[in-house]
Amino acid sequence: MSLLARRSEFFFWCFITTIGGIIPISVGGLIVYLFAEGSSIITWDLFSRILSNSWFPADEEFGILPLIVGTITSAAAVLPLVVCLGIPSALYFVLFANERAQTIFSMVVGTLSGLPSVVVGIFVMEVTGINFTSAVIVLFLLVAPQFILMVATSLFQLHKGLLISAKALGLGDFGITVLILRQISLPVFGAMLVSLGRGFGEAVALTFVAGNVATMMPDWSGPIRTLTTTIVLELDFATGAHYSILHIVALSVTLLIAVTVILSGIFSRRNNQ
Amino acid sequence: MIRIICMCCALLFLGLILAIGFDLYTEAADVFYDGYLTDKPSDLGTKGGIAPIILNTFIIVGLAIAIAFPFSLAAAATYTMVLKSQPTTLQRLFIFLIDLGIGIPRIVWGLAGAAIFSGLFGLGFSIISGVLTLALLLSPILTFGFIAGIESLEKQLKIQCQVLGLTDLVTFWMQLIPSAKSALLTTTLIAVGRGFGDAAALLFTSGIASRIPSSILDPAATLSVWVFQLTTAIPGGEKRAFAAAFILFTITLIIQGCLSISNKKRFSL
Repeated sequence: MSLLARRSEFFFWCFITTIGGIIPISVGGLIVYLFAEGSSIITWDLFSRILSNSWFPADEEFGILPLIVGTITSAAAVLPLVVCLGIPSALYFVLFANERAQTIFSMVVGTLSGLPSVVVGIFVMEVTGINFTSAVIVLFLLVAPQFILMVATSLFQLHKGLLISAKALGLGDFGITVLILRQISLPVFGAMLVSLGRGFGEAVALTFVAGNVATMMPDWSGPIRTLTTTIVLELDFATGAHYSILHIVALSVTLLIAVTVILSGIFSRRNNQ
Repeated sequence: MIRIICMCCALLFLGLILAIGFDLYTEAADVFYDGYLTDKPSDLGTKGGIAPIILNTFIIVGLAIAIAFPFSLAAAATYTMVLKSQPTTLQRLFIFLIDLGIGIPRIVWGLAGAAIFSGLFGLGFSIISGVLTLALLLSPILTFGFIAGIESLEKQLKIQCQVLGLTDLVTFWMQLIPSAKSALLTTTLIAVGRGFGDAAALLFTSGIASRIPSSILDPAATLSVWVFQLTTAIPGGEKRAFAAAFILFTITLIIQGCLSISNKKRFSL
């Protein structure tokens, strides 16, 4: 290759790297922005108020603990449901369904995973009303399809020889299922963490059904308020300290999600090893 | 026995999707009329059709994808062709930021978009403000899908190209991209679906106007924002919200149908 061609290729890749770097930089920039805007008004007095358990912005009470409790509780409450119904569904999809059933099921799960959250929110609000239970149902509908697709993907990646050998050894459906579940335990944990992250981040659909009252002790028939629904409901009229606190709320939910991303990355790497 | 349990769980999801579609349709049946998709809304959306809202949705999602696509492709090229030869820490940081970008709630993107594009840049509630926010939101999704698509065929193809003495530039643009085009298409369709369904990021950036925009500086509501607005802010708007939600549901089904056709695979023993 001539020097000119080599040099022009070098400059081309420099250009591509500059353009391509904008996306990760903008994600990092978003976090820096949230931190800068949120911390701009922080004083020791305000910091202690943020860690209280009373959220009444009109009275300058900015305790985000009940919002964090609401976020973690709702996302954690949906997880057992997602795992108990999601793993058998993924197993059926990959192992037991015939071609026709696979096509139908992939369309069903794909459609559910692509459903706009407003559609899910409006459906659940109409069917089960406004309470914590409805919030969990909404999150189930939004999180479960993604979980199934992730578990199904890890099942597809299993070596086919494993299943053929298991069948050749005379293992029945139950034996094969146990064997497979042991093989995919790490990807399943990863999928659970990603689902948890998705649960932390849901906003609009929860606004319809959660009742939006900040509480430290959520109960199944009562209301709940999460970090993201607070932003949806209050960004319109927030000013001054309230506006900055909403950035701290956004930073909090982003950090919660970052933890799930880091942990699922660790599981993924271990699985690859 | 285990086969039946697994099938019942799978059937539950089929039942759920049917229930959602049926419920939305029955709630909205009174609202539909011949000109529902071609008329303008009136009386704050409690009468008339949703033609401008559908048009706005296509404009905003189309522009956002048009902006996000080249940046995401460049990011995928950076990762697969440049960073692969760099220290692992840099690769991990890149992938972590992309993963985090996918995970960051849409309302957080909306919050930042409202502050930066609408506020700092003075674009206010406008299509361009919404488009830029949505493009930022969709870019990590596109990048992740592009990287996965390219990496699925990169190893063998890259080695073959190196043996033939092709440069990285030719390898990427002439060999990898054409070979991965079905993955690129699938990812783009997924991103389009996400764009159609997004309300949180656009609520505070593109605004809630229900007229046909005359420029990209005009505000405009998408279908999702329209459903949200009818449900939460317009008295008597619930039935109309169900009708718009049913249209969104139908669009999702169509996109999913396209995805199924473009991604037909058979996995089984």
